[in-house]
Amino acid sequence: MNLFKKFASNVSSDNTNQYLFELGTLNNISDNSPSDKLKNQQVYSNIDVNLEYVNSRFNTLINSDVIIREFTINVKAKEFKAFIIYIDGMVDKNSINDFILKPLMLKNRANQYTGDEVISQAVANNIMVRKIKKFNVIDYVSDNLLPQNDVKKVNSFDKIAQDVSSGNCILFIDTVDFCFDIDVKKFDTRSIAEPKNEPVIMGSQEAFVENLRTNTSMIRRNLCNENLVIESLTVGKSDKCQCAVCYIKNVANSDLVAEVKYRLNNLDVEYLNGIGELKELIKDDMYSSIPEIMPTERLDTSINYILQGRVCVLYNGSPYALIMPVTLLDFLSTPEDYNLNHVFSNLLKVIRGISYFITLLLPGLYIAITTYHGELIPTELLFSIVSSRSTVPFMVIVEILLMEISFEIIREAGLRVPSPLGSTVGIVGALVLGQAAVEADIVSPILIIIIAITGITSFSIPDYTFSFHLRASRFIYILLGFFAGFLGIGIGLFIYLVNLCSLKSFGISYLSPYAPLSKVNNASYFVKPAWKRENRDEFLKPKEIKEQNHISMKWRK
Amino acid sequence: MNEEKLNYLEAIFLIVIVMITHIILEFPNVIIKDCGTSSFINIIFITILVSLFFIFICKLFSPFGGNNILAISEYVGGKKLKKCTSIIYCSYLLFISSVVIRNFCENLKIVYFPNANLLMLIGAFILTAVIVNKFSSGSIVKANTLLVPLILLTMIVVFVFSIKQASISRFLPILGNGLNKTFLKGILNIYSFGGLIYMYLIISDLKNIQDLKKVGLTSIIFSASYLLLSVSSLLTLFPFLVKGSNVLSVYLSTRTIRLGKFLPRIDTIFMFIWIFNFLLYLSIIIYYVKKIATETFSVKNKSSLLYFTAFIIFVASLLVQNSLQTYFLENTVYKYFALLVVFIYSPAILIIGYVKKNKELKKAKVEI
Repeated sequence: MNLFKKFASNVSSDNTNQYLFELGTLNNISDNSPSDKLKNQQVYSNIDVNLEYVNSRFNTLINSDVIIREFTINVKAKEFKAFIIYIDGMVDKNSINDFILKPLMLKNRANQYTGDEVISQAVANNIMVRKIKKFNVIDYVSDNLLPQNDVKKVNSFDKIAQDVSSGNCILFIDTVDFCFDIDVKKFDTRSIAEPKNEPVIMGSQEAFVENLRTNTSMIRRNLCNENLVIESLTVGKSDKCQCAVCYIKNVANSDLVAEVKYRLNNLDVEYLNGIGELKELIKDDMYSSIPEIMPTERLDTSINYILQGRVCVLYNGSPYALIMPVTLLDFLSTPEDYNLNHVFSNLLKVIRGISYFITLLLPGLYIAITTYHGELIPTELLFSIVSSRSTVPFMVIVEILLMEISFEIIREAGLRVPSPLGSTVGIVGALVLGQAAVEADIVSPILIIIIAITGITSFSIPDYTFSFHLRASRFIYILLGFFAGFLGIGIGLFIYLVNLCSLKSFGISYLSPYAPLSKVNNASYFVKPAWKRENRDEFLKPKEIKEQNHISMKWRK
Repeated sequence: MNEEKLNYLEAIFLIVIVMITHIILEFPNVIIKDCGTSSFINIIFITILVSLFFIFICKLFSPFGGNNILAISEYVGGKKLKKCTSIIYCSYLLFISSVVIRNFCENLKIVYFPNANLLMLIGAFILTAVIVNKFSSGSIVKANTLLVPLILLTMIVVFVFSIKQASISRFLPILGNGLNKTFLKGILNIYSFGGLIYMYLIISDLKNIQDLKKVGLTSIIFSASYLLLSVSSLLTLFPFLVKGSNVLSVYLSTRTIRLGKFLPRIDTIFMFIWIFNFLLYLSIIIYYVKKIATETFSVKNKSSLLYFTAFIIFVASLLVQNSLQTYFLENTVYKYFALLVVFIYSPAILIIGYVKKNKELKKAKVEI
């Protein structure tokens, strides 16, 4: 003990000569965040005050990319002090030079004219009556000197801060208690590419990108309907990230749209890390691991759901859209289902359904059968399993958990390593380690088959978040199978089913249209032939149940 | 169930699950013991009787709108009778659920888990029912609606697959143990429709009260068909001596199924279905006991009531000494308890209420 104390004191005395850095405690930290005093501030009429305020708010002394350009405006032979503020790299500089600064700064003939504008004049009894428009600098600048298509008058500094951050240019003029918010955004973004995580063979090959406007324009371009509404909202108090709520006005249920907007508008958060966090904050059941909102990077999937009467939320900075409400069956569907012949689609759906149960239950069932219900399988197979396990020193639960965790590690490592190395990790992990583990009698060969089948089937679940849920739940069934065999798994499945029945996604039962039973149209488990997809689903309570009038193939007559 | 009213199908399946749970356990064996080869005639006979009885009950319910038996009891005899009815109903439900769960767990232990502790098995079922009752009540109904078709389908599958081993000659003699046992003493087998007790309760939960007759009759037909299929399987598959076995009656039928070499014991898979069945049964009973108690005694803390109900079932199921006692309780005590509550006490209240209501209506007409 004394030796330890001596060692500890030596270590601490050594540290006294080192460079020490510690983060201050909460009490010592000065409040650099925009205080409440700064919030909700209105624009002053004095330009010097405005300039000082803007300098302070945007930290221009230390921010190298926030540009403030002061100049003088020539209007009707009068001069006004003015300045513009924008962020370098987010604006089109040519636009600012040619269509903001030039018209405002250059002295041209029109600007020199000092007389009032005559609207109309008439002469009666040698008396001339003139109707004159009184000169107004604001109107004049707005109407004559700013040849821009999107100019707004703004008087709140909060709005100004938000718009400058999103790439607008703000023009302040002396004696005017508001400013001009001019849209001159231009920044480099990733171009539209193929969906990386939700690939299909037949179907659109366009995926969303990080830029909100590009995404909304893609939806507009592909969904040519004047009733399509794209509403903008901001989320986050300090980040103020833009979201877009997309729906078809005469189809989507008004209560659903109102609920989506209500939840988005009532998020009291400083900032969001991404669309995943947004998804978690607006879903119905806070504690459930079952996804209740569907993220998709596919444009065609989003459009298809919007047409059905659902709501799609886009988030600036994320190449994913959120679809709501969703049901369990949506997580087992792909856009491919509607592009293939319905026979093939239904075959795929059956396969996905089987995969769903295999992913969830196979390892648990394996444990239950080998531990409690050996009578279920043929005696020869049972002998084979027993003999293959005879050299393995672990209990079956240890063996299966070991392999499952190893598989998850390989999967995680495959995702994190640079893509050229991904396949190498797979080969080393799955083939080399698997074979070596069997040869070293750490695991039985049959178990490798079980784990491999479970792993592969989990990839056939179309939605990544839902697949994750199944992978996590699988461990519960492994434990239940080990402790109580089929009884444990039965109990687990029952609780799972009741849990699914209790879930709701934006007021829609998660197991719709089967529980509660409603008229099954497009959202049934099996895909209808193309000529029968006429109605929307009742459980969504759309304004128009008829998706399209009776589909007739006139050419057949 | 309070949050969302029951639709036609949900109400049917709610009654069916209670009735077929008893069928899976004992009823076919008991009926076969009583009537022998004429069991299927007896079932058809009691089905007709129960259907007529139910039509009569619907008539009695008609002047009360959407009121259930508790409200009608209050109307007939004030709060005292309401409390009395509630206590009788709760005792009935608690008694039968504890006997059923004990019986099922004993069967499960004998067949699949010989090394398991009975206490643990019963505890697992009751704990699950408590967890499930913690979710919204409507979710149990939804789960029931999804699972009951599967359970019904299982019986058809059992029947179809076991048909190879069946021998029609085992139906003979067609009148079994005689006319007396089939039609006179056999009337008492009407107790196998004891699940109709829920009809007295769910009327206030129905979306459309006009559906009551349809709901009742359809559930009687479903349950009778299930009973008929299971009795027919047992009759045609086994010689008379085996039919007296106390093991799960449907299990006996499933044991005969052979699906080639790969699945030598398919009955294990059916265990899932039976587990779902009993869990649903237990969850629904706990829910209804909770509901009756809340409605009558204005209990505020529903969670405590839920734990208390579960505790009573758990303790009551452990009070039974052995499987012989369980058998006696289920086939003798329950038989008369069900006859008394479902077919005598409840109709009596309804009849008194009906007469009282009619008198009031006549009086009101005269005054007008």
